[in-house]
This record gives sequence, C-alpha cells and structure tokens, in this order.
Amino acid sequence: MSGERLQVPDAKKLAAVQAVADLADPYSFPTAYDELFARAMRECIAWHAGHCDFYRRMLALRAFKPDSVKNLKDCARIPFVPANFFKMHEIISIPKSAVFAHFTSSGTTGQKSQIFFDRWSFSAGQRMVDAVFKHFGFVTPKTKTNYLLYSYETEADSTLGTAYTDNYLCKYAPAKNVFHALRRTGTGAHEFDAFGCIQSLRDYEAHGLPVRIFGFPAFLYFTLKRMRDLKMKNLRLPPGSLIFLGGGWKGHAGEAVSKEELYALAQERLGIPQARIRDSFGAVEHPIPYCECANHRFHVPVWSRVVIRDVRTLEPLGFGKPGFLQFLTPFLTSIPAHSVLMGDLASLHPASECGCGIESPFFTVLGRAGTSKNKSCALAAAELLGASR
Amino acid sequence: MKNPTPHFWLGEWIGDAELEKRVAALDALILPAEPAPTGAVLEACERTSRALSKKNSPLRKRLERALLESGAASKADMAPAFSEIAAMLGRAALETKLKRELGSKRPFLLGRVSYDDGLFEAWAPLGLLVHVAPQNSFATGTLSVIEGLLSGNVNFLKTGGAEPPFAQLFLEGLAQNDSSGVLKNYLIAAKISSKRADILSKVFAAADAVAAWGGEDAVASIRKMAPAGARLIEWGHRISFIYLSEAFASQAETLERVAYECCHQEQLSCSSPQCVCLDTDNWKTLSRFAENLAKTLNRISPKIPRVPPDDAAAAEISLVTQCQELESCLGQAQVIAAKDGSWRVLADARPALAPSPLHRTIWVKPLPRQKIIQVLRPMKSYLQTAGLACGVEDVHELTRLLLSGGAARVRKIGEMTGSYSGEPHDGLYALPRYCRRVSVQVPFDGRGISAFDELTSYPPPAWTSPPAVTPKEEFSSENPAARLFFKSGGSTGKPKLSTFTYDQYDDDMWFGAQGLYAAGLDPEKDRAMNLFFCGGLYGGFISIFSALERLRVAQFPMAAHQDLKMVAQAIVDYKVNALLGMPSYLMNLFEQNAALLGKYRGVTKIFYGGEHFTEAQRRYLKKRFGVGLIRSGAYGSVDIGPMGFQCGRCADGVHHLQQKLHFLEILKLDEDRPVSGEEVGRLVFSPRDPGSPKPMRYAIGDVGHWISAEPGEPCPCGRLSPRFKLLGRVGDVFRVGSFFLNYQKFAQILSTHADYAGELQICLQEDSRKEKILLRVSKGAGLSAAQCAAACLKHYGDLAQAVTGDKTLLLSAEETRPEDFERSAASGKLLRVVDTRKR
Repeated sequence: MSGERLQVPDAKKLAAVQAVADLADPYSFPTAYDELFARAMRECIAWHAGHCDFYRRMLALRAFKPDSVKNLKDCARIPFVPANFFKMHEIISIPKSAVFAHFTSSGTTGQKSQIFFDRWSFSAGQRMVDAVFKHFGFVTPKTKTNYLLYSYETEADSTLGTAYTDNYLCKYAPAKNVFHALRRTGTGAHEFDAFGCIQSLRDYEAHGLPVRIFGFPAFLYFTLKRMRDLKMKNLRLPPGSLIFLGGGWKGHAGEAVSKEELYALAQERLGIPQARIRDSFGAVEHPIPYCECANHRFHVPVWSRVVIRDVRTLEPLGFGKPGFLQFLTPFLTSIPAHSVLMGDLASLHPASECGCGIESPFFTVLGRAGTSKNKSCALAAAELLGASR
Repeated sequence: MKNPTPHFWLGEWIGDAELEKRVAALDALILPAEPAPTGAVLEACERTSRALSKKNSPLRKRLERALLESGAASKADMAPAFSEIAAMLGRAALETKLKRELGSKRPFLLGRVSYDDGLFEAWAPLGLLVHVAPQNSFATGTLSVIEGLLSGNVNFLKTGGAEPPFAQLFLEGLAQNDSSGVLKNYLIAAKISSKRADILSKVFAAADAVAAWGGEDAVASIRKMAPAGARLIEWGHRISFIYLSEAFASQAETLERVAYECCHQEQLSCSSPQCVCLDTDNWKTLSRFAENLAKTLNRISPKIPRVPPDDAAAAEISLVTQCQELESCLGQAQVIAAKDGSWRVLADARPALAPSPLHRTIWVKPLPRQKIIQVLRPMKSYLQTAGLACGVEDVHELTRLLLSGGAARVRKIGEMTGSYSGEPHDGLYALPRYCRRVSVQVPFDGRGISAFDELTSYPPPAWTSPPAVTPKEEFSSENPAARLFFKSGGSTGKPKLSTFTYDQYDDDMWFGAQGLYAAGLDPEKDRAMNLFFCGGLYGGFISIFSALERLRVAQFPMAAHQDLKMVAQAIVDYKVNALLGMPSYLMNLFEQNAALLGKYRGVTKIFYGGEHFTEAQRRYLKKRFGVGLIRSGAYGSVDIGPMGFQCGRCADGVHHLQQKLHFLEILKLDEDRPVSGEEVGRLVFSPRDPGSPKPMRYAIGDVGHWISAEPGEPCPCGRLSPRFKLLGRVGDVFRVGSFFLNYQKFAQILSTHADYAGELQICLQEDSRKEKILLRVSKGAGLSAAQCAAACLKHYGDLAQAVTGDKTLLLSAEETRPEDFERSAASGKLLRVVDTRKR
C-alpha cells in the first residue's frame, strides 16, 4: 500500500526474514518455503541473541544452539516464551529510540503489558493483514461502506490495540458512516450503546450500501439479543456486507454463546450469509492475522507455523490432539516473540479436513489453558509483582 | 436417564416446566410469618446427623449413589466427607454455633436490652434467602442452607445444571427428619444452569438476600441480577500461605510439616498454602530453604497418595513453571521440580504472594517481617489462613502482623485445613450475615416482661403416645456432658445428683432471672440480699446468686448465715431492701431481730422459695416490718430448674409456668390421667428441649391445680403462659381412711383462724385400732395444743367427719420446741408430714 519498500533493520543478517515477510500470497505453500522459513527463524534467533540480554540468557538456560536449526522440523525445538511472560515484563530487542509503536495489552487476568514494535515489525504485520483481506476479497476501494465498530470509540491518545486495528480495517473499503458501539463517556470510560447500534443498522439497511461490522463478538451478540428480546423485525443488510470479529469474549465469558449460535443469529437478524461472517484470532505478542476461511477455520498463513504441545510434557503433538498453541514467526525484530506459547488450548488439523481450498493446515481454539482459581486474586498478585519490580 | 423431577420445592419434587411456572410466581410467595423454628431445625439436623454417620442408612446410601454416579466424589472421599458433615449437624455443634454467632439459642426471641426501659431486640431472618452453590464443592451449598435455616430464613438453593442432586436429596432427608413437619416450608433446591438468566433473574428478583459461593464471575453476574435492596453475601475463593521465622525455616520438623501441607488434598482447599514466606530478605537463605524443602518433598510426597491434576490444572502448572524458569534469566528465581513431575518448588525474590497452580506446587518468597503489612494488604480481601512456625518469642508480633495484613486465621503448619466447631468463616460469622437485628419499643410500661415469649403460648408436645410418668424417686439426669453437680431430692428419700452442663445451667438461670424480674425485683434500684442455704452440694444459694448476677442487681451474697444478729445488722448497714430466702429462715431472722429490723423498716420486698409463708406470717411481716411485697421468687427445683414464677397479678401460690423450659400436665392424685377443671392433682413436667437429659413426664412431687382461663385469655399481666396454684408437696396430701387431707389446709386454717405464725408438723401414726394425726406447733408461738386441734376440727369438714362423724381417726396436738421438729438432714427444711404408719 505504501510506495516505499519495507525493509528489515539489517538487510544482510535478516535476508531470509525479509524474504518470508515479503511473501504476498498468504495461503500458498510451495515446499521451498519450508527451508526459507527455517533459515529466517535461524536469522531471527541470532538477531535477538545479539540484541536482547534476556533472550541470550534464555538460550543458555535451554542450552540451545541457533545453528542447530537446519530445517522446518528443527523449528519445533526452538525455545519458546510464554505469551504471559511478555505481560509481566518489558522485553525488548531494539533501542528505545527505534520504538515505532507500543501497545498495551490487557491479559485475561488483568495484567497490562507493553509490547514494542519497530517500524519494520509493525508495518510488516500490517502488510500481512492487507494480504489476507485481499485474499478473501475484502478489499473494495471503490465501494462506499457503512461501518459498525464493536470497539472503543477512538481518542487521539488511545493506546488500546483493538481500537487501532478496527479503524485500520476501515481502509479496505471507504467509509461513509462509522458508528462506535463502545462510546466515550467523556470521563475516560466507555459505554456500550445497544440502541445506537440497532438504530445505525436500521439506517444502514435503508442506505443500501454494504455494511461492515467489526470487533468484539460479545457486543454483536448483545445487539442481536436486544433485537430479539424487543421482537424487532429482522434486517436485510445490503449484499456485500461483512462481519469480521476479533478479540474474543474477554470480560463476558460467562455470557458467551457458541460460534454456531452467534453466526446463525446474525444471519437471521441481519441477513448476512454465514460465509460473510468471519472471526479472527491474534495477539499483540504475535501480530500475525489469523482469519476464518469461508468454512470458519483458522488456516495458518505463510508467515507463521503452528506447533501444538502436550500440556504436561510440552512435547509437540501431531494433528488432532489438544494442547498448548505455539506460534513461530521470524518477522518480529523488536521483541523475541518469534516462538511464543499462547495461553490457549488448540488442536491442529490438515487442510483436507476443511475443504475450502486453502492448502495450509488450520487450528481450532478449544479454550483458555489452565485455571485461574481466583481471578481477582491473581490480578492483585500481578499488580503487586508489577509494583515490586 | 434424566430425572423428570429434579427440583425439591417446599416438600415436593417437581419438573422443569413446573419450576419455571413457580419461579415466575416466586415474588408472590407468601413467606411463613414465623422464622424457621430453631427447635425443629436442631432436631431435624441432629437426626440427619445420626443418619449420615451410619454407613447403611437409606439417606446416606441415596446421597452416596448420587455423588458416585455424577463423579462429584470418589468412594474414598465418602467416609471423611460424611463424618465431617455429620459432625457439623450435631445438636451440640449447632447450639454452640447459635450461641457464638447470634449470642443465643433462641435468636428470634425479642429480649430486653436493659431493665429500665421498654426496649427489646432480637434477630430476624432476612426472608427469602437464595443460595448459589459453588461448583467445586458438593456440600457447601447444602451447609449454607443449614445456616439459612438456623437464621430462620426461607431458603432457595440454586445448584448447577451438571451437579449431582446431592443438595435436593439432602434437603428432602432433612425435611423427613423433621417431626414438626414445618421445615419443608423453608426449603427449595432447584437445578438451574447459570446460563438460564431468564429463570435466575426471576429468582433473584424475589430474593431478600443472596448468598453467593464461588468465583468472581459468578458473583459479579449475581450482583447484576439481584435487586438493589437485596443483601448480597459473598463467599469468594481465598488464598492461604505459610510464614516462617528464619530460625524455624531450617528445622527438619518445620520442613516436614510444610511438605505435608503442599501435598495434603493437592492444595485444593482454600486453607492450603500456595506460598511459603520467610522472614528474610537474603536470597541465599531463601534458596537454601527451597532446596531443603525440595529434599523433604522428595521424601514425603511419595508417601501421600496423589490425585493427578486434570488437563486444565496440568496446563496451568506447565505455564507457571515455564514462566518461572524464564524469570531466572531476569533476576533471582529458581525452579526445583521432582523428576517425575509430582511436585515443584518455585523460589522467587519478589516478596508479593503469588497464586500457585496447586497440585504440590509451592512458591517460596522472602517477606521480612517489617514488610508483612505493606505486602499483604493489597490482597487483604482474598487472604484466609496463615500457617505459622516460630518460637514463643515471635508469636505475638508475627501473629499481630499477619492478622493486620489481612489473614483471617493463623494456624499451626500441618493443621492448616483443620477447623473447629463454631469457627468464623473467612473472618466472618455466617449467621449474622443471614439475619437482621431488629428492635421494638413497646407502647406501654413493659416492666416485668423479660422477653416476648412470655406473651405467647406454646403448643403441647407432639407425642404419639405419652411417655410413662417418672416418679420423683426415679429421678436421674445422667449426662456424660455434665459439668455441674448438685444434690437432688433433699426433701424425699436418699439424695441423688442432679447434673447440668454449664449451658443448661446458664439457660436455667436466665429463666430464673426472668422469674425474679416478673415477680417485682427491680434490677436498677433494689439492693438484694441472698439468704438461701449454701454448701453441701445444695443448689439454692448458688442458683439465686446466678439469677441475680444475670439481672446485674446489687447483691449481698450472705447465704443463710446462722449469726442472725450479724445478718440483720448487715441489712441495716448496707441499706438492703430486698431479701431472698426460705420462709422459716426469714421468719427466724425477723423474730430474733424484731427491734432492729422493726426500727429499720427498710426491707420492702421478700422473694421466697422452698416453702411458703402463711397468711399470718405475711400479716406479721407487713405490719411489724413494713414489708410491702412478699412473693415467690421462683418455683424451682434442683432437679429440673425453674418451673414457675409469679407475676404482679398472681395470688398467693399461683404461678405462671416457665413454658419455654417445660410442658406441664396436672394428673389425678391416684392415677395417670389429666385432672379436669381446677381439680387438685400432681404436677408433672416434661422438658421442652428434646435434647435435655432430664426425665420426661417427671412427677416432681408437688400438687396443685390449674387456674382456669378461657383458651387464649391472658393473665391480667398480659402473659399467656398457663397458670397453676401450687398447693404443696405430694406428701402434704395424705390419705387417712377414705379422705385425702392436705397439710396446707391445716396450715391455712391455723394461720387464718388462729392467727398462728409458727411452724406446723403433721405426724401420721397408728395405734392398734385407729390411725392418728398428731399436730405439732411451735412452743411459745401463742397457740395452745387444745386451741390448735379445736380450730382444725371447726374449719376442716373432712377432718371433722373422720374424727367426730365416722370416728375412724384420732386427732391430737402438742407444742414442740424448734429443735424437736423433724427436719431434712440435707437442706434443713422442716418435714411437714412425717408418716410413720406401717402401711
């Protein structure tokens, strides 16, 4: 999208990283890429070992030699850092002066982490989103579109990642109207405006332009439920409308309904076919876009690989077995999150089990890993840990 | 197969559709006007407790089956779980709980706040109390309902959709064990999934209070649904930890105890430690401790059977362990784990407590004592138990710091998960949270009334067939729990022991105090001298002392001292105005100090017991000494405590029944059938408290008759408790020939018609032909033998008939010196009828 060519911080030492990140087709996987990917990972490990004390000590602790990564299979042995660890510590592989953007991500137990990006890491991630949207045909620069954003109404100083993402997502189709479901109250807080959402949807139906609904699934559900409770007439949003969800049910897990139920309700109430309702998965620590295919599967794009690990032995598991979700991606140069163990349970499946036509395997998220017996307690503890650091 | 009627609703089993219908109308449910009756709750719990302690009882089998089928508990968990529940439901445990938490075994009874105003207070239930059971413990919700019942509420227990029907079956069993049949009106248990907000919102909307057990999310969603006015009682998860002084941290015994706590119950209890804090800020000390603890765990852990973590717990353990391993790349941190992964020690230099993923995972942290409060305080509302090991020189300081920091309990390491009966829960008593404290100011002068139960009447016990009458001679009160012993049966037969627990004694004394207050003792103004006999295991003086103590009245505990002059002088010197004693002693006191006390005329009240004052004695005391009020202070006995009291409107001998303590029957003199109307009969008492070791239907040996009243018609004093006139001892009524004669009648005739105020003893004798009555009167009391016999013949019709009509009975009289009267060896009481006939 930008005319200037995007470059890794060190073109010589990160040549393979550049090559992987430059791959433009998200779901095309010639086997040659495996070797490239392994090389990029090796470069990335060396980069962080050279720029991050923590990472160097960790490699020593795990007695890991970067040179031992010869092929894709070896990548599974690369030491990983739990995503949670980035929520507890500010870990960085670039000088502060090179920080282009930083995000505060609130963890499920409430901790706040600062994740830092240099210009490369940030922009390469954005470019991947562009590629994915393009792949699915969601880039329609000539079609005026009305937006309903289930995200926080923007403030100039907002440092909340999701809010930024959703505004950013508006660039793929020019905005006619934008309505934020989580509205600023002027006192630093936000309030969910269900009636505003419903009114906007009715207006949008009348406008006749395609509608794009982005953001937290919980608030979409609350809107649809309100429509149902009020016995309102079902809407028929114009053709070309799209629902693109993300961020999970954070804070509303108790009210969560299944994907199937939500999609069916959205189709019934808004008239958007289920194939145009997509969820996404991602994390600030791992900003690769995972977007549902038309069959609602998260296929792994060309820039990353997924390993599922046994929750007890942490050994890699094959297809179909539930375990920790681990991501590998070589493109992050600002934080050593190129091998990150998520706090989610998932299983990995061959592309053949989906049948949408995408050739890469997909993963299914099965829920949070572990049990925080007392959330507030863990929260209080985390805050204390922060304070005493 | 799905149970078609999984909900227990006020005594019946209903299905889902019916539940929804009833829940929709829940806000219109008319709650019982009375709090759940404590007596019935205690009885049903005691019987349920006994059933649960028996392995083969049908109730226990039903409950075990429910738990096993749902997998909520394993076979091995059963025995300890049921014995724990049974122990909590025992009568004694619940009575202790009531007394500790609500201050009384009768918490809903409006009782006086003080004696000089018309103010009363009591506990009152909140109304409809909804309990949301936690999902991790099958018994917690049920026990919360027991607490709800003890606090008088109507209880609605919500159990989870996936839970076993344990609570429903348990509450059905409880209702079946309630012989009164009323408790079922206070019990609802419904299986409702937390996702059914449509049903739950209606349940919460009808609630006066919600007791929420479980995690933060559950509590937060309840808070949203409950009406603003409803009290929300949260019982959230808690975190516990261990604190060690530096000296104790290196001891082998401490390490073993810490290791045991790490393995016990896989740390799943809220009171299991998640963290060990050392009184140090030295990393080396901490690291050495962690290594020692690891060595100890290596030895101890295999000895304690392991319940392996499920996948979720295993995942949490892996994540936390991984993170902590990486911490060592940033600072002082260490992970020591068992080779087989069965335990792990996570040492960390940051002092804050951290939640452990449990299953033998323990944090080791530095926490110098100066920092305890600062570090713990932010987690204060989540803290529960601090296990402590330190020497006696540190225990005061460390305990104070831990408690100030927020710990709710400090316990010995190795016994952290233990508890004791009546212990507060997470720093709070449950019952006061399930109640309101209410006050009443009566719109009239309520003097004399101690509590509102005096204004109600109690139903007779629900006997299917009345138990046998226990004669006085067969009195026994064997009770292994007894701690207080008095000599029983002073006036008849061989002395036995009457036994009490201190609780029973305390109860009895409160009622004794109520009786004295009703009789006219003014706790604010009177100066009372206790002149009852004392010593030799005799209960008189002691119990009056205890009653006066409860009234907080000015008391001079003199006892029946033989130096009557000294006693009289003390009365004058200390401005005593109220005397409590036995009539014979008091009469002696007044007669022998007539000059002094006649001049003082300051004794305005006499409260007597044990014997009676005759009319003549009363007249004498009023006229000569100015005693304005002479009343029975208590009708009581060392065997069964206070039985009656006199109010200001009671004529001589008439008493109100202590109805909260006793059920009274008056049975015919010669057969075990109730008398009719005001017929004279034997007084037969049964304890109201089914847990009492006192005999049922105890014929105390006194005779009397009912004071007839229309049902529901109170005494002019306002009390509804039954009234009876006490006529004396069973022995006072004796059979001669075909007549029943009564000692009291003789005494009354002599007092009324001969103005006699001395002692009277009737001796029943026989010569070869006829039975003979000998009347003994005090020598020098102004009544000659001849006058005595003549007066009796003139005024006692039955006597005259037998003596002068039928000529079957001989009558004589004699003047007797005080020391020649026959008296009880035990109490010194005058023996009124001495029967030496052979029959």
